[in-house]
Amino acid sequence: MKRRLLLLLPLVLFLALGIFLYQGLSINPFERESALMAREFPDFELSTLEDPERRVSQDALSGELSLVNVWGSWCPTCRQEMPQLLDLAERGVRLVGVDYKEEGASDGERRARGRAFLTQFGNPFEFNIFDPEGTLGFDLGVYGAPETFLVDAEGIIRYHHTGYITADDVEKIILPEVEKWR
Amino acid sequence: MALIDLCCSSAISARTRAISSSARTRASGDDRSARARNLPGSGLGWLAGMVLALLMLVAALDARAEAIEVRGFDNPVTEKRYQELTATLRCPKCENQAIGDSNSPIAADMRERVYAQLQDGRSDKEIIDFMVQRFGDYVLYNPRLEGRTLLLWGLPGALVVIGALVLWLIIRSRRRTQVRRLSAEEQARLDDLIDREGSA
Repeated sequence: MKRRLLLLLPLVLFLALGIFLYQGLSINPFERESALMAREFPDFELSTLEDPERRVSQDALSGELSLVNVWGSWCPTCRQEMPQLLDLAERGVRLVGVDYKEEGASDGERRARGRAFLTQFGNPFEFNIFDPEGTLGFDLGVYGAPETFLVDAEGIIRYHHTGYITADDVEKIILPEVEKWR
Repeated sequence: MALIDLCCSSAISARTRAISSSARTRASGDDRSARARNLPGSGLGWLAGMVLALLMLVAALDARAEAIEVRGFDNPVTEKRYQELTATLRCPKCENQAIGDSNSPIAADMRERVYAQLQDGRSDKEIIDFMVQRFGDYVLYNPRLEGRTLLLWGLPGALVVIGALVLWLIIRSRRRTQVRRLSAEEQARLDDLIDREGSA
């Protein structure tokens, strides 16, 4: 009898494997965790969008918890995200923008478009890091704007959001995370 | 979830474009050669063939330039390493394309970094680590053997071993029923039957 039961083992294993793999089908591959989670915000030295003379580095992020949002004037979903970011800023969250590169434009054009974007859709950011070559974006592992990183007062990345933040996300994910790491 | 901005305009679509453009070229070329055949003298048919070949070549070169940048290498070994790296690093934006196959901007950036680091004399491992540090294990088409990936690497082998074990159990149990010795009582009865058969 025992031996008979043993013969069912392959079937049981097959079913277990089937269930495991079936679950894999419903995983959203874009909801994977950032490789930078719990690591320091990468080194950078760039100017700000507002002032080409002002240089900022990762030191500008430490001291206070900040939400770093990677956006681009060429990115339609970033526009949809602005009302939520303005709401977050109003609720006292410090926001820092990264104006992520745009293909085939001169620095002057990029700056002008970046500023026009903020004039049109509102500016929730304390300042914007101007990243024309996408070097900071690359070091952050950004593969599609918008992406948002929560950086704690010590400059450690605590949360990563890919895709745009909905009003629902603000309440259910972003604000709780902000409270958790503040 | 809306991540439409750095979308992959995939190499597949580039290839489709290439195929359709060369198909178009071929169609117009056939047209030409058909017309040429109607003309007296076969010299023009040959010319049409040449034009067709040239057009197809141009279309092919054009399609290549669209999908892949031209890169110069000092030696064929580095070139081979570049090709291997861009074929085994996965594009983080596209679900199932190597960075060498994808037209998405992030894949282009990654190819650029791979190339630059190869020129700097970095090792394959250093380049791969550099990418994993930023984009995570997701970019590896060859996952590394470590605690988390033991199941991934070990499962196929484990399943073969389990299958072999089950097969062995089945064979053993069958063989045992086949070679079972008769008990003394059965043997006596069998002898009895054989004897009766013989005397009848």
